[in-house]
Amino acid sequence: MLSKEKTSWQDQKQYRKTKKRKSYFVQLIGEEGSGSRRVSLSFLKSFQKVIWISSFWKIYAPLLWKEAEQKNIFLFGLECAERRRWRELWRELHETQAFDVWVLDYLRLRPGELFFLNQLLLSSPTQLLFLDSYPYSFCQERVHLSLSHFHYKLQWTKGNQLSVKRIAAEYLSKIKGGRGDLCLR
Amino acid sequence: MFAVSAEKIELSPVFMKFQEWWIYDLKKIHPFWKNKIQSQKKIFIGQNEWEALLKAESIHNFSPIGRLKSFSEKYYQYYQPQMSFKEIDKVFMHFHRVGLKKLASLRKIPLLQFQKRFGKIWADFFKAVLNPYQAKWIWKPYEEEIFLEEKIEPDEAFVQASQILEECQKVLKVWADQNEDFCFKQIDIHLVAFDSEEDKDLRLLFPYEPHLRVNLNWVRRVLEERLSQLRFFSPITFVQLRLSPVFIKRFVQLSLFNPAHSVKKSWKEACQKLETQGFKLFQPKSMPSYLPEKSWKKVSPLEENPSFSPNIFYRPLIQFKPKAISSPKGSIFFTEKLQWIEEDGQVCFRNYYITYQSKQWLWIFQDKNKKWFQQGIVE
Repeated sequence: MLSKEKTSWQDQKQYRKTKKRKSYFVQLIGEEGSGSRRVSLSFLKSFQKVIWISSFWKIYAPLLWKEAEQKNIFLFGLECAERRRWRELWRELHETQAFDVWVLDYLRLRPGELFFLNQLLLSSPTQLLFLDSYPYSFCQERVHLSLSHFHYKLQWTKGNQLSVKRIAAEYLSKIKGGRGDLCLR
Repeated sequence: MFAVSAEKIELSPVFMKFQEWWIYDLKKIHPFWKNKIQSQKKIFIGQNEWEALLKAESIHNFSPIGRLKSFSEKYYQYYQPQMSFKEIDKVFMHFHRVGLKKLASLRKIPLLQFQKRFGKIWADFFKAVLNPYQAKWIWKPYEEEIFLEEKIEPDEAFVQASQILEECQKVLKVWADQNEDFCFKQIDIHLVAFDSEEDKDLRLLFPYEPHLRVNLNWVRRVLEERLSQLRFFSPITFVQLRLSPVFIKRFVQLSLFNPAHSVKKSWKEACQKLETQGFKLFQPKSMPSYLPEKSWKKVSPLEENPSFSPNIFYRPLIQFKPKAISSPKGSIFFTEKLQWIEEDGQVCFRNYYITYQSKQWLWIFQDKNKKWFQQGIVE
């Protein structure tokens, strides 16, 4: 969340906007493989109930769930390929208020759908995590992800004082970094 | 093709009830049975609902306008309950004044004039009656009416309206608590007096189908007012309360986002609710297989707790079903050797590698036939 100590004019303006709304939208922008899914768990807090919505499930779920379990995050998956039912789904989820965070996994949302979500969750304390390859409007934090030198580079272009952060890509460094001799060609 | 009958007959699974008539959709019925049905005298057949119904009501060019009036009363009572008999009378009085007696004489009036004089509702009605082949009928599939009924037999007979009101209120409250999404359109109260001549019936109509739980206090006031108008010359020994419910009134959308209805529910309740809507929540369950695509399956969170195998950290996060690819051109890095015999006897031999291609680290494998497959993206 933005703190009151923000001094720049843009941050002050942003702070005034976010102060009114309860929901919090974060966007992780990056192609598949840039670490958006791996890193997304670091944006979640312990004991949060998270629903991971995907149109086509591509994630090795046991690994994701294990990592979530280690962080005491209660994770639920939902696969819904029918775009026309998404609004109905979001409305139902909003009505139940059972989940603290919704992760929208590469849904490639249209502006109308985004506007709908924005209006729907305006006064709801739900946090939304958009994983996608292009930027959306309506978000309080926008993070661009890229893979470089066995690290996932997180670059904020909106919110969080526009900082840069690096998180180790463990799998890659295990396979490639430490054992270069295994290169077969 | 449509059929109309005064009695309920099993002609088609698709049917509706319009006043005393049963209308059957015969579009999907075999022509053999259609011919059989047509031969019956009590069944009226038409190319569409209007035609069949007008035949059943014996409304044609030479029928008197009075017959059309009685049909219009039925029609509006069914589809437009707001339309009063007085208004219908007024319209047909105009025809009487100008000397129109037969239905055919209505054809002299341009359809635009009907709309100008009587409004669109009437224009549509006359258009349908005069050209039944082109008209569209509003189809309402038949649903058996469900009633909630409660009989109240007091130990001591009721002598005051307030006593009846209290008992009715208790019953209504129980019904409201049992069903959250519960609307209603009618309440009938039958009061049986000690003297049978003093029996009373009270009917309260709620055409806007209010929500029972929300409007409980208002219903009480309406009941109180109506009961206060009754005079009890004999004590009431028995009260029968009947309520006609309307379940899940979704077509009336008061607010686009319905903020008032969001009530925090547990995840179990949410799962159950979403499952009834056709959305399936899941959690993974490890399966006895080393093949990545068969090593887990989706299970409902309500059924089991997830359990994971220990080797999961050595595989990438993005995985999908293997898809055949051409031989990789760049460098490949070995990750895993997999030899496994499935339960069905299928022997799997795979050597897994990662390779950098189009700004992504792909997770690929080579099977025993030296064919290459992609199964994921490293993340």
